[in-house]
Amino acid sequence: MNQGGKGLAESLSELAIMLARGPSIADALRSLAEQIAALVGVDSASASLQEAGRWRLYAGTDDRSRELERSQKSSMHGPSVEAFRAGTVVALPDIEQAPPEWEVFRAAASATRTVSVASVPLLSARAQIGAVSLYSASRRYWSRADLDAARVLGDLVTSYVVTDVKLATQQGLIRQLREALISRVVIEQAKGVLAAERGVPVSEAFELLRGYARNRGVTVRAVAAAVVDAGFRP
Amino acid sequence: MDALLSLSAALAAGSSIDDVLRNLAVLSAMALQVTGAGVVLVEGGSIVAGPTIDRATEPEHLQAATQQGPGADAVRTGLVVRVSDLRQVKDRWPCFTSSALDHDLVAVMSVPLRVPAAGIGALDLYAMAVRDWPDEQVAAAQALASIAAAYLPYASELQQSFDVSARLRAALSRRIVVEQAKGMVAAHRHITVQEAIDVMRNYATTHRASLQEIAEAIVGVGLRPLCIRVAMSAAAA
Repeated sequence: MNQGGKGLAESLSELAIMLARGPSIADALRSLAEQIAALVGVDSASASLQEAGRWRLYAGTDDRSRELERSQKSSMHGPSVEAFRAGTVVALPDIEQAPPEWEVFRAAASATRTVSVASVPLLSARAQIGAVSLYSASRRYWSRADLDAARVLGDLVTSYVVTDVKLATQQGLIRQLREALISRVVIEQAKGVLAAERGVPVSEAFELLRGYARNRGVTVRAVAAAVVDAGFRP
Repeated sequence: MDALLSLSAALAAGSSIDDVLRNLAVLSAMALQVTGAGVVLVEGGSIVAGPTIDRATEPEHLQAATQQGPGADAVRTGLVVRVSDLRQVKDRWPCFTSSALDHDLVAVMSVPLRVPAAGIGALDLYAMAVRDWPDEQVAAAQALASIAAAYLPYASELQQSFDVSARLRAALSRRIVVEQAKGMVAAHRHITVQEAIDVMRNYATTHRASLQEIAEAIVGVGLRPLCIRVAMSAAAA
């Protein structure tokens, strides 16, 4: 595992420091590719995020890895796609032995003088989110240590990506809640007024407001304000 | 490698910070074949005890109570602290050391958990026999510590945002009830909502209840503004 002259502890520490700075997802993927390439000592590496049937994002250490990702993006066949789809490691010492449907990838490999590839899926709690791929210009029989190292570094970036998505969702929710705390004041007051006057549940009072607003093409908030401030009754 | 894979998989699966730190302690103890382990964290400038396993619990808590121990030093200096025999250095951290020795823990190593700006905690590992903590054991512990350290900053940011949205959601549901109650009181008494809130506040004060409780009674269980008027008059009389 130490062909690159670096230990796993050091790679993990560097990747950890990088992630602590809050990088973009693209930069996190690039760091993952760079760290794994240096750690296992390969010529090129790439990392990609995929969704069913399409590529979201990829980053590579060099032109070769980017070209090989592009070839898979266009054909939707190749080791990164397969690792993503199956959620299992794809290790191929000789790309010539690849299945026939990998034709586009094989041509790209030949054009970039790439002989061996290994792809390790990026796995979150429930699903695969992408893959990290290692490319070698000379034949390489991938060791367990190579693949495990890719898995550990990949897990770190996976957790970062998944957290980033959750964080964005939470921040959107927080914005909505803050807005609701202001905008719903007058609507809730109007619901209370109508519910009390007509002896109906507040849910029914809301339907009154909403029905009126919909028919006149105005906002519920505007109707509610008229109820509370101007004595209007729908 | 198995320990690293288990810990990193826990991160990728989105485990809680507590679970990740407990995994760090347990998996490090297994990987390095030690008897006790604990994680200390920096909170508000002080060392606090996190998850501990086996015999390490009391020394870890004493370390937090006295702010003195190998983990505290590792946090402060950012360097690994190795003690092969605590009996040789009893004066270095007196409380911590006597507690560790009481529990037959003789050797200790502390590995800092670091992010770029600062130390955020330390992993403490304990052995029951003299141990020199060779470099490969240090590297193994550091690899595990790095994984946890990477997770803490963004996982705690997410945790905080969960806390904020939970507080906002609770505030919104309280707010909804109070505003509805204001509307009901205003309608019954033919007063403005601004006046209604004063009525509700007075009623709450008179009955030693919170505004929230009064609002919930109005909206939820049919406490009627008419009754408030009667109650208010009675209170005034």
